[in-house]
Amino acid sequence: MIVRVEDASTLVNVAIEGDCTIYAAADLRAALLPLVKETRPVMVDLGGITELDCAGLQVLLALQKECALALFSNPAPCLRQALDLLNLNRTFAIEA
Amino acid sequence: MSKSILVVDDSLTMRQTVAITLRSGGYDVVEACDGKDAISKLDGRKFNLIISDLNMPNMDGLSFVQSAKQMPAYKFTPIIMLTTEASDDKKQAGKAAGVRAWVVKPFQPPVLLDAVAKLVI
Amino acid sequence: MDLNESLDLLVQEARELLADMESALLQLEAGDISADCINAIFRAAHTIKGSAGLFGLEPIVSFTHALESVLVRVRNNELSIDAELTGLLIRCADYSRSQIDALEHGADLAAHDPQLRRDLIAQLQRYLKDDGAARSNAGDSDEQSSGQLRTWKLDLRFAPDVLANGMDPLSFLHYLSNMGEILAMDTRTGALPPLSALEPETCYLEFSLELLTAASAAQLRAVFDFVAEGSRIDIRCISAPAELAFENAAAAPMANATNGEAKASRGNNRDNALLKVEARKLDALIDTVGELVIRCASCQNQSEQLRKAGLLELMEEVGDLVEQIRDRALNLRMVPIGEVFQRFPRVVRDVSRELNKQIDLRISGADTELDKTMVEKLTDPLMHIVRNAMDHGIESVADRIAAGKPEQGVLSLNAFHQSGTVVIEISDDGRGLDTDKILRKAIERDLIPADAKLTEKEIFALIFAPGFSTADTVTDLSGRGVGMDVVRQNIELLRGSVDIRSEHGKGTTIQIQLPLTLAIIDGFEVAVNDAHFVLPLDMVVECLEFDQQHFGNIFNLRGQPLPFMRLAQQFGITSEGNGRECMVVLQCGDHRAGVVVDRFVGEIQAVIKPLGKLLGGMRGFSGSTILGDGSVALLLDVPALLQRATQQASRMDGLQLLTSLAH
Repeated sequence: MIVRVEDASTLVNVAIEGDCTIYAAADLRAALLPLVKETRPVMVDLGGITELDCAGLQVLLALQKECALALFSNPAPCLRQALDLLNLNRTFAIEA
Repeated sequence: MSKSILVVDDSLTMRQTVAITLRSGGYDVVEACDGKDAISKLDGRKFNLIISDLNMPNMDGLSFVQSAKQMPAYKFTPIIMLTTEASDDKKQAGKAAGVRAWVVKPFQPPVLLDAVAKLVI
Repeated sequence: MDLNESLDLLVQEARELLADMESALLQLEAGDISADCINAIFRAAHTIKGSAGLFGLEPIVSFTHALESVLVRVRNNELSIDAELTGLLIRCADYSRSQIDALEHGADLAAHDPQLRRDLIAQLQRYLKDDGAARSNAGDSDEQSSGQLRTWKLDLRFAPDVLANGMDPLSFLHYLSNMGEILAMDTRTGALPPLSALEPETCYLEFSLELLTAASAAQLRAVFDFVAEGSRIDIRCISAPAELAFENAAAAPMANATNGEAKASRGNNRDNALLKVEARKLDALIDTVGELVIRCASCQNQSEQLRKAGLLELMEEVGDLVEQIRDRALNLRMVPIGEVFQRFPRVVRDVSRELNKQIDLRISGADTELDKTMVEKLTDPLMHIVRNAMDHGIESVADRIAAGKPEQGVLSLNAFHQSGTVVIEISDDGRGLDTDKILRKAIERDLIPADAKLTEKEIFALIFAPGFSTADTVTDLSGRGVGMDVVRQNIELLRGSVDIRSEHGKGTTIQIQLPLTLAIIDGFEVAVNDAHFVLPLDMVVECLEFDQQHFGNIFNLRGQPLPFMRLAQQFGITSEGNGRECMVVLQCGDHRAGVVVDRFVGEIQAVIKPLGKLLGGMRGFSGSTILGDGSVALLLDVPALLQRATQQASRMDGLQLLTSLAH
């Protein structure tokens, strides 16, 4: 799992790639933690996620809950499926 | 992308039956003939599930599971014990080693696929 | 209802479903790959699996599960039907039927041909590659036809360490979604701490969902076996069982693959909800109605004697109502003959392959109804006749081409109602009966004297003689030792008759004529001295005074010779001898004859009781009935009587009559 953070002056671009499973959850959490304090919009591209489990999802949900400026986009199929199954599409808003 | 499963059993027949069942269910299967062989297969590649026999030469199922659970890359990998022995003693020992799922041999292929489906999407 | 009774129901239901499945499979094989067809097959497998699951019949469950999984893929257009898959499905249906047979006989299902079961499952699984949904497909709410569809509320609080143990709640929820339809899902994130405090390997999420499924509480609980410890899994039913899908209980509809009747009748079944009733309850009802009919007749007798104003009219109305009740009660037992016919497409398919012949089966009149008990007893005789037709009747392809016929032989099964009877015809366009050959065989076997002069009909009738076989080679199909004589006996036990028409080189038709029902008939009562007899009214053509216009046993009926017999003579009763005799003209099939009695009594409703052991062996009677005054009358076996009358009337008498008429 890789988290790419790109500082683009008015906003922060984040791309999450690879398996977001329990093996990566700790790293994912560590990578996303600084964003909580961000004052600019945080654009999170979720298109590169290859696998997702509850542990990975929890981290994303925690970020979304805590960081009002986080905007999620481009969900990978596995994430889309999980959000559908768990009926989280409204909670976890995805930008078109 | 299909999920991959490591199958550990010393009986060739059993291993192949399990492998055929799993492949028919659309999973990738890697086979190992005992605990020691299995450890050598845990070389960093990803497994979504491990299915192991209990009684095996060289390294038995319990020792194998204990070792696997020590390895960072596999400590969270779900394990199904596929065994004829499902006594409480064994289950207790298995639990201590991190095993939660048991399927009793001889198994019905659908039952195994069913158990796998609970653990792997 | 105890367990055994429910098991009986399961067996019965499974049989019906398998019959549906089979006819649908044959349609598939014939190239009709419609959604209806696939659904019928799927529904059968799915329902059998569900019912077997309720009884913990694991070998049936696992087998039908594998079958069902493949069918789900077919239904979702993920798999296409080809000859190979159809063949496999047919073998699976066969195995499934053998499992049900084993279940009925109380055999150990696990030990029931396990090798075959494994092979079939393995073959099925080859069609299941890379498909998660197929693994657990109890879902598809629109297909939940068995078990009870209920809504369950599940509150799931997984143990905090569930993730660390490698168990992913997402997988379990995904699995649940395949067991039924998730109506509501609430994922609670309330326990989720801020990222700074979040332990990545601890499960914080809680789930509350409503699931519509046919699964039982135990089955739902079993889903969480692996995570039970430390988790709080709360499962409760929040709806009453949904209405059972009655169409499952529908008498299996017609089998005919080609004429569209099947679809129509399937559709009807859905509109008219059906109720499954145990056969013995119906029998008890019909028994009681029979008693009611008798008592009613007694009441009518009494009221006639009382001559009380109003009573007669009232009794007449009651009589009409009782008659309606009788008809309706009897109608309850009427089932379409399609129940028997639907076995034949499969038989014909298999046998024609075995014999390497090409045979087109044409079924008509499958909706012709007759008494359920008769339907059951008809199967064996019909099977025998059909096999005979395929084996001996229809020629090999080479022979047919040589005879200038189309390669494909035609075998027709036809049923229809005719003057109060049910007629079933089995026709083939094969080589027909060879009278010379039959005669030779019959003489060889000492069935007839070498110099016997027989009519064509009499020669044909010889094939019903015990131990007669027309085939040069005995195949394993027809040469089973039981011959057409057994067929005739079985039909006669049902108060029916068998007739043969055949043209050499063109084909053979075997016609079976049966009464509509065995229980109650409209009868015509006659008397010889003080002995009373009942004749089925349907077979009475006319009643007339018996005069001296006869020679021997042939009566001159308006210039036509009519064989006749005297009941008094036949049964050794002394006639009243007052010089006046009456004759009833009876007809059954092609046979027509007169029966001479002392007097006519009139029409009655006769509740037929089987003859006791004493009279059972007597030829000429097919049952007894109780008359309005409580006395017993015997029901005459008209087909047997007609046959005897015809035999007794020698052709000499007929010749004499004709000569006398000529003068």
